[in-house]
Amino acid sequence: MPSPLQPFLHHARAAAAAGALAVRAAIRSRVVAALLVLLAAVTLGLPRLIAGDGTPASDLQIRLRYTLGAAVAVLGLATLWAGCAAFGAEIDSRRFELTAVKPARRVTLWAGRWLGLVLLDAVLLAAVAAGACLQLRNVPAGLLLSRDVAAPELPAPEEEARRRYEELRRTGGLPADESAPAALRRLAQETRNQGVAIPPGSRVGWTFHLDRPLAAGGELWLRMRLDTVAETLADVRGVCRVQRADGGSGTAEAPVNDLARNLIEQRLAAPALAGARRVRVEFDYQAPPQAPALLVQPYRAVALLAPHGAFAGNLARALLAHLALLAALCALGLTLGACFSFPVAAFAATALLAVMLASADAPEPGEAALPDATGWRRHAERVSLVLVRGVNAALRPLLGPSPLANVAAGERVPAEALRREILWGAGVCPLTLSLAAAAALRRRELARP
Amino acid sequence: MIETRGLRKVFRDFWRRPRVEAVAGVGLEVRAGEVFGLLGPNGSGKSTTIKLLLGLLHPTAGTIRVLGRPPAHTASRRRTGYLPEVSCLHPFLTPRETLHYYGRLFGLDAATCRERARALLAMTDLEAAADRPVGEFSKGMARRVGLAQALVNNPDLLILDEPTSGLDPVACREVKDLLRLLAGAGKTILLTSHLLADVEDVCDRIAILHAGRVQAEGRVADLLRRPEAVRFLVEGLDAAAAEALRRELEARTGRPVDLDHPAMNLESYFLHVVARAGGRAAAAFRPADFLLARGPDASG
Repeated sequence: MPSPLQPFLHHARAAAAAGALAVRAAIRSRVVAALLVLLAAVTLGLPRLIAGDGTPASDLQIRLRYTLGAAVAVLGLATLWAGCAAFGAEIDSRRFELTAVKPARRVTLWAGRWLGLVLLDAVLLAAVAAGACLQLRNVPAGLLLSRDVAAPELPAPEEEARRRYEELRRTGGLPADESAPAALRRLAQETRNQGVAIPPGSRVGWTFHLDRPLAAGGELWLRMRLDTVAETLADVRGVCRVQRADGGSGTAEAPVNDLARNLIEQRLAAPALAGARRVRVEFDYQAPPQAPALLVQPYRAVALLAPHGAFAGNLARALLAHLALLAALCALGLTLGACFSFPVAAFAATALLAVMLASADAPEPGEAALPDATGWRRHAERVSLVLVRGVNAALRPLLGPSPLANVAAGERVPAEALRREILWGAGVCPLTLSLAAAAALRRRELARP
Repeated sequence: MIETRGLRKVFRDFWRRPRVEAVAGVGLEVRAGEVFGLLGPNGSGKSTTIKLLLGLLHPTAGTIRVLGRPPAHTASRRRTGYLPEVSCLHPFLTPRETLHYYGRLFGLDAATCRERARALLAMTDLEAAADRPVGEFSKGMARRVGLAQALVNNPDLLILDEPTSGLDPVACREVKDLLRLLAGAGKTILLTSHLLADVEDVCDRIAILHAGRVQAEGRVADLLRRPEAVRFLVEGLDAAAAEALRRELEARTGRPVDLDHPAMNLESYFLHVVARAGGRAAAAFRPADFLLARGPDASG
């Protein structure tokens, strides 16, 4: 009597065979060998080409953010093209005919190949990371940090925007041709950008809520970027002070001596603060009365960093997020290869990747982006706006700030960003694209003369 | 096993305009256990018909049933073996890996795949080359690997597109012997060829395609029989006696009578010469190994 697990076993065996074939094809066609040489050249050669400022911190930035980032970019491109070739080239060369007449489902073949290529990516990524880590031996341990980033307790920009919107609406201060959503978006943006002036001799302070109790040692870092009203260089001299804000005792203070417009990261250590969940940090601006006032953007340029976890673990989290991105690129390549011939798929994939990278930093077009067109032109503009917003919405989860930038800055990769990357890169994208590929392969004539 | 009705296939260009009608209303029936041959010149629609039967192309019109189901149904694919006209194998895989890969696509477990691969490699005389990449093989050797993969699931129905294409005469004979053996074991075989001798040697029934249409169909013996003529075959008759007999027959029938000496066909003569010269034994394919050592079939 056949086992009820038999159909599942058939699918699993077919998927494993498809995955093994994809890996063998990559290894035996010397793609992996060429890729390893290229990755080694990037990992070992790039740090020698990029000139830093000579400090261990800049060395760390170069080795992690630029070198590893470039290696991930190379892997991403290779993964995309390998994905295109896995179906596209096989169909073009008619090798897929023999596979297509076997009783394996198209989605199973797709999933097997995807898993095989992602596994290969994981191995290559681990090799590159191991190479980069070997080069970090000379970096002082004090720089290899993993810290949670806490923002100051401020009203949410959207709430603040709503409050200001109601106020402006009562006083008639809103532009007549601006819709409510556009006005709310504008006001929220203004809130995020708003600055607070710090005159000489004054004090400014913020309260922070930490995600977890402060570790033993009470070590904290206040990160801020100060500017002058005239955007000129100026001395930033003063004292940074931290104290519990949840009722306990314990304070610490440290002198600040830096320049405006620099990213200041001031370490504060107070063992008495261990276990605190809320802390208040203040900065006394100690300058003569004739010195320029400083300007700070609390929403953008102030943060408190608290230790959480080890550097190696944080690097692993960043690599996991990048692996999820590679998994999404692999899925995209496989699906394009299932829909088009290899040259068309490779071109479309590369063009899409270029659009993704170009749109990563582009702001989402707002209502104001619509020109004063009328009639069918206005409708066409609206359709293109909806399309651009749709593409942005689909790609944005995969195009957040680089997790390697977090690691290089000693910031723990946020759990929410990691979850989002994995959910989109290894979940939503492959699932959607696999179904599209299976439908295309069912519909496509695989043996046209 | 296979039934088509009013099967049509029109290939269209990029703008969906009809370009060529490759199959124009083909109706076929292949019964269980028979060897059926599709004959026709190049471009007659043989390969297109086969690809329609396998679900690799979609028909413009008509119906297809393979093993009682639509051609793309996994249940019918599970019981079908296919050898394409050109053995498009993965060049970086060895024959053993190739058989293992296709066996796994049928859902066979690793032990069964290994056993099948061993038996099929022995059957196709590829044991010595079992661990060399297929990309290094000659066309004939690649064809053998293709044939082996078509049998990896121990299929009930074998669809072979030009099975002897690229093979030397000895290998051709071996393939034909194998097909007869498979037919004897109850397999249904549909093959295409434009080599008439191949089809004549192994097929029970044939259909002749031309311009996408079936021009003739039936049992080979029925189609080739000439009931209006009679042939005598006598050994040891001298020339004078033969001439006397010929005159007697002409006198009785009132029609001219031909007298000749029967000849071997070139294939038989070639095989005889090769065997006499001590070349590859006529039975390098050892189908009995595979047929006797069958494991469980793909359906589990």
